Amino acid sequence: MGRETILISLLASTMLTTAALAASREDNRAEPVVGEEQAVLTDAPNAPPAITRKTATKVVVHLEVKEVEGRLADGVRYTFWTFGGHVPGKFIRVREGDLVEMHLDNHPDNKMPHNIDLHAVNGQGGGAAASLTAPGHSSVFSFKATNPGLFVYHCATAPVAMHVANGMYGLILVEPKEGLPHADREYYVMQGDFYTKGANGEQGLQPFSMEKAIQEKPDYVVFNGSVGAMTGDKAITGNVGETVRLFIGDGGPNLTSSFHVIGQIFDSVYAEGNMSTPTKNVQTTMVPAGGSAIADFKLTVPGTFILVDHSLTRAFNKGALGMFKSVGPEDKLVYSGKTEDQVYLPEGAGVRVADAPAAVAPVAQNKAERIKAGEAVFANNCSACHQPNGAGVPDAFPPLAKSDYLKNDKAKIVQTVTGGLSGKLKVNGKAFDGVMPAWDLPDEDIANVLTYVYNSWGNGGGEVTPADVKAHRAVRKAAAE
Amino acid sequence: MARRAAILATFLAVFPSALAPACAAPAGMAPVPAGAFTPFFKMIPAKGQRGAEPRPIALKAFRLDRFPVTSAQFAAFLATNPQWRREAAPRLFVDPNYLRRWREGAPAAGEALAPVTNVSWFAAQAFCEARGGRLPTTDEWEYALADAGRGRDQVTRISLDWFARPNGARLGEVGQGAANGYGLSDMVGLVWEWTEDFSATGSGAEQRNTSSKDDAAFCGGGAAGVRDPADYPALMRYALRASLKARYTQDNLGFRCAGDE
Repeated sequence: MGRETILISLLASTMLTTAALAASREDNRAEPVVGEEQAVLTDAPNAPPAITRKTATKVVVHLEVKEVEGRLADGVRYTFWTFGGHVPGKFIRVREGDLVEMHLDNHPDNKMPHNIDLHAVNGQGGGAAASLTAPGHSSVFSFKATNPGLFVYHCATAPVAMHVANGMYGLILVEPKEGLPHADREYYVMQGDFYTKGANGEQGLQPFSMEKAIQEKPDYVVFNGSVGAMTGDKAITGNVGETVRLFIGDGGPNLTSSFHVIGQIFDSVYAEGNMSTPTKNVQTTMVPAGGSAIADFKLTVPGTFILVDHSLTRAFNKGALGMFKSVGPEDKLVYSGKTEDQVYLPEGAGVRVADAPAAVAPVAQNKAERIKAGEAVFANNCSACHQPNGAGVPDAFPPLAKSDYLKNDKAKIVQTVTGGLSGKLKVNGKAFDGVMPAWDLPDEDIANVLTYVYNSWGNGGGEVTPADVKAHRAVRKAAAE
Repeated sequence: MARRAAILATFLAVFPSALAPACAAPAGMAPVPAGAFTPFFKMIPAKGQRGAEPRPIALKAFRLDRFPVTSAQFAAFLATNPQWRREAAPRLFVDPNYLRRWREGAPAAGEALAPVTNVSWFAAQAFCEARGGRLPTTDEWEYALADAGRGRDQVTRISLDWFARPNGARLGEVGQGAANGYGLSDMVGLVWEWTEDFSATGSGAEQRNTSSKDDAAFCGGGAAGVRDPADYPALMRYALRASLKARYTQDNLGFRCAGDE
């Protein structure tokens, strides 16, 4: 075979590949449309049922745009702009080759004009140009679903960043003709960043902050429209042995998600929502703003698995945290749980302690000094969980600020620190079920940190002295013997 | 003449209830001095040219209502122009939500001093003409809002607060907030307002109009073609105008009238 022949055959194969791809889009364009149906639309975390049709059809979608006041976090209200009344917008599911007729209905109560840009559309503005709709009006356009995939849709009315920041995004799945592999449960999870006039946690109705949005400094990063939308009672669930699929979207407007489920490996990820090449065995998948991913995993053990944006201060401090509860029998081979807890004595530890000069801890002389010293103890030992402002983390770590738990008697509070605390607990009306370890700190430190807590964040004041802690330990010891 | 109007206007500012239907129409207007206005939208450069930055254009002095037109004022207009009543107005000029909460030519109870809303451009224009005035052009309206650069942060803040306020509540009365430097109240924060050329974005004899109204109203087109992409409330106003047709009406859309000096 001469060089020219190789070149020609290379060229030919390239052309063949291109032709095959182009034909696919062309095939879907040409596929006859049989009949008509109304789209089944769902709110997160639910997804509509899989499509079993063997033919393309006309799917009629009605999306009602509503500007509604709702909960962004506990005590924090926000005026969301929504496709269908909730953030994220309704999940739309169609089949490759379908003719989709979009009706965008702008509720008469609304103040704003809105439109829709579906990333599943080949056409100017993804439909935005055709769907700019004044309040009290309705627009219609249609498109052929020529490309399979999981696509974001969003409002694209200027200023688009504000419309999206207020919650105007959702997902549309264009399911491949052959369908997706079977999954026992499918869920819809969409991340978004929110920018409020007040800082994170500031109560009341919070207007949008244009400055923070432009600086890309959100106060909240959340799954499904609010802090805690998928935690506690609202966790998504499954049984051991089932296959779970997450349709994951990121509305942004600004942040890319490092999407991760703590304690699960994704068996397959359809990166960026593409349907042709799932990646196997993925820990964390990147979901771009205005993009998507599909993650499949099989539940092999029971437990609560935490959904996070692994850019962790977003999960820890801004709300990007959800829960998946798996129920069923343990498999100790897959995961044993804790099997031992022993005292660890490194070799030569005693020698080093003996060599070290005795540490001289400063001793607080009065309550003011105690509070000051306690602040440092708090920062080093407590603030990671209870937060520097004492607010705690919803569903995970109880608040110390204005905490009704602190109204218990002093002995119980000292015991909480020296002995730890675990199991179900109610603080300020909110339920918790976690573990606080026992703190092996000097009496002086415990006295100082508790005095600091008693005298901070709207708590009732008071003082704990090292003598109190010492007496408490003596009582406990006597009781134990 | 100007002085007399100013005195009357001051009186009206102190006694907003004097805005009742009986009051003479042009008396509620404030003079807005001539000046330069830089359009919000950039121009499309001619082939082979660069520099799409909008150039300032000269605006003549004009007069503008100090407050949005109230329901009481509109009721007075309907009394003498019954062809614009809800039952009578031709569908060609109003959509089905025209004056949707009015009954028998009267506004909903307690809303006499709130801005009239659910009025079409045609109805607004007819109202202003009946008073010997007209609707302001978009450039005039935006120039009046810009207030010679005074209080821009204020305008942004009031706008964003208004966007966040839950819908469906009764509209407030006009004149609750402070007037701007020209003596104009409630330009933002109460209702949107019709302009004479709402459907053209920044048109003018001197300038080649940029983008079609559609381009102006969505996504990339919205940000690439404007003087200040960080002015979200301005983008909102232009997008709202671009979404309208002259017969449309809206719960949050009112108007005020202008006149020539």
